[in-house]
Amino acid sequence: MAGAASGNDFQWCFSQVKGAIDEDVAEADIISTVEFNNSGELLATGDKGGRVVIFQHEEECKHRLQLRGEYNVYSTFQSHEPEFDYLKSLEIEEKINKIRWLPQQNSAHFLLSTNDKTIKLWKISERDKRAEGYNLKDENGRLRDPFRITSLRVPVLMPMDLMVEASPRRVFANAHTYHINSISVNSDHETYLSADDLRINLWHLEITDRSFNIVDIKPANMEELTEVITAAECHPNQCNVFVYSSSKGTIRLCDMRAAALCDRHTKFFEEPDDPSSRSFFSEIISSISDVKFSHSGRYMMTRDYLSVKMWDLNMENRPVETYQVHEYLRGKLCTLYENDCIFDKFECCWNGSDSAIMTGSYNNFFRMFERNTRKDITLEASRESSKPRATLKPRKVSTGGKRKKDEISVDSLDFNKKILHTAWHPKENVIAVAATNNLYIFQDKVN
Amino acid sequence: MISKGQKRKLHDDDVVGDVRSAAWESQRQSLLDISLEKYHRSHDCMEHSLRRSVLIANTLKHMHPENRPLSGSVTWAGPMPSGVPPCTMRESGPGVLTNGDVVVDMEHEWLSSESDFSLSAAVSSILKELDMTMAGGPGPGTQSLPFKPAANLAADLGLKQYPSGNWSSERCAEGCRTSERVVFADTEEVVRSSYDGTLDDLLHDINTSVFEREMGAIGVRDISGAASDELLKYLPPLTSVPSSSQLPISLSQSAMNLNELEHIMEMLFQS
Repeated sequence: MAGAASGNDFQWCFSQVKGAIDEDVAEADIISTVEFNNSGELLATGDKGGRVVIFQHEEECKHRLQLRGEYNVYSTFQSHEPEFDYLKSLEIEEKINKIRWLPQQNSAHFLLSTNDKTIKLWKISERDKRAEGYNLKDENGRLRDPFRITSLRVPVLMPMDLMVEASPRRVFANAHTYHINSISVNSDHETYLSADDLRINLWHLEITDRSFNIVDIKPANMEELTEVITAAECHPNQCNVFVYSSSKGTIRLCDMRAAALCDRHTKFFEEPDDPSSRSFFSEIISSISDVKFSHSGRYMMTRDYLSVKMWDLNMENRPVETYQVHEYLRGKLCTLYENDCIFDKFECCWNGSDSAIMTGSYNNFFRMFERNTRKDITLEASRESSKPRATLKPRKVSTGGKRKKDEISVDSLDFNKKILHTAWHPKENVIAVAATNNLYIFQDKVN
Repeated sequence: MISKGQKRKLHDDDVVGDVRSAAWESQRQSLLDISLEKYHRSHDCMEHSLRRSVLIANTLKHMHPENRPLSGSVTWAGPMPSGVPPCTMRESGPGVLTNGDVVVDMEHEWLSSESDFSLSAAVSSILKELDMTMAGGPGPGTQSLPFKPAANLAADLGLKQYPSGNWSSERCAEGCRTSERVVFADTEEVVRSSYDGTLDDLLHDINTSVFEREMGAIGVRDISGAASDELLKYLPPLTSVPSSSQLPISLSQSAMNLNELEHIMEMLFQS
């Protein structure tokens, strides 16, 4: 079954890389989000410049050597523009924080994209025909003199070159005082939620001028603020359930049937502190940067600074599985605090069958964990190892004094090269990894 | 019970505990400095991540001396990775702690705890003062400024000196918008001037020539304008004192404020 095998049983090999090769990276080109659509046919990326680029998977093409076809640019559009709030003298960045695809219901595709303040619904549709033979217009589109028209004709549809149009269908604005960090489409396909640092709102996809506030953790006295919302997601099957994570490492599951305002959680997930590993940075590294439900809906995965934790929704007091992503960084927390890397927000993702997970790290490394066998692998997204169909070599970070060949020491890690955004094809073993301004696509070698 | 003929030895735990305690204290002081510097940098650079601000503020609160661990579980960074600026132990007083070299300085320790208190209070007041509502201002029910990013300070202080239409092309090397620097420069001047005005009113009825002599003894006059401004920022806000009134103020209260000023001055000089 596609996606059922582990990240370690397959041989991951390079497929494609998108983006400029220049050493000097323009900040606007830095990829800020990556998302496959529900079928895996389309892959969307958003960048700091407010642009969305959609790649489409093309079937195995003429090249016999291609593994599973490749992704090519399907559509590019400017989703968000920079704005300036004149009342508050605040600049609103155009950076795309999240993209979420809606389930496909017809030939068109819909996605939600958001920056810090505004969410937009985009329709991506194809046009491969155009009408010709208008009565009132000539071939160039100029109006004809009506007095010279002596006969009527029926316009005919003629084929044309495929044109992909992206048009904004809805704009959901002015509902968030703080910065939006998450959007999540509900399983009812009618509503979605958006979360900022202190509030979560529930929207209807057809209604843009109002939303329901379902979570509000803003204290009356802001001096008492000690915790913010970091991520939120709707349950994949139960349209009344959602979860949100906090900067204190807690996850709250809420049921919208219980109350209109879900300030009181239904379930509270928190792992007790380990006193032996407590430090000044304990709270910072426990801050959850991403939360994702499994496709089955039974589990959820959270990413904090050093680890990924798997939670069974039926057990709140501790995670069922914990995977250390880069434990060797625990001794570097002071440095990472000083250079702000400790505040990096890594994302995580499931494979299609929920048997494996993936998350990013530094030095353009990313990690995969196989849940059944507890095996893990570290791979690198780099141009040097980007030869067509080249199998990725596992990487290892040496923590001891003696470094083996092909190992890299902790001191040599490049903390400016970080993989924050990754995505796994919903049905196949194809992954997309965003490394600064480059998008790498890897896939397993078909036997 | 000591065996006959066996020489008593000083219990090592006491010494080790002091060493670890001093190392912990030094680490805490260093992190305190880093956190405050980080806060000011975020203030200058239009960094308005609420999550980051809250985490830094919580970290500052955790550094209270009472939270010192009983056992000396001190965690410290190992060798610095290349390409990452070093996290150096900062000198903060006569007691300078280096790797393997411990100097326990009681005065430094006392000043540290005292300075932490005043700095903690100062941090709270800074956060309070620079807390700007994203909603455009304090609501009718709020009794104090809500916690909000530093970027909104200009809005609350009524500053609208930002020119429109030309910001999109301005990007500084760190990713900040240079136009924001203009706004925040004006903001700092307003904050500074408000403190100046408040202190002037406070000391209006007092002949400060007596105190000026003492100030001169510790070198207050040698402080640059920037340092004195920096000093003023760390003073708790005199919110309980009406700024525009001419109420008589007791000499002891002003002397207390000046003593506090003197303590902070000593810390600055020693650092």
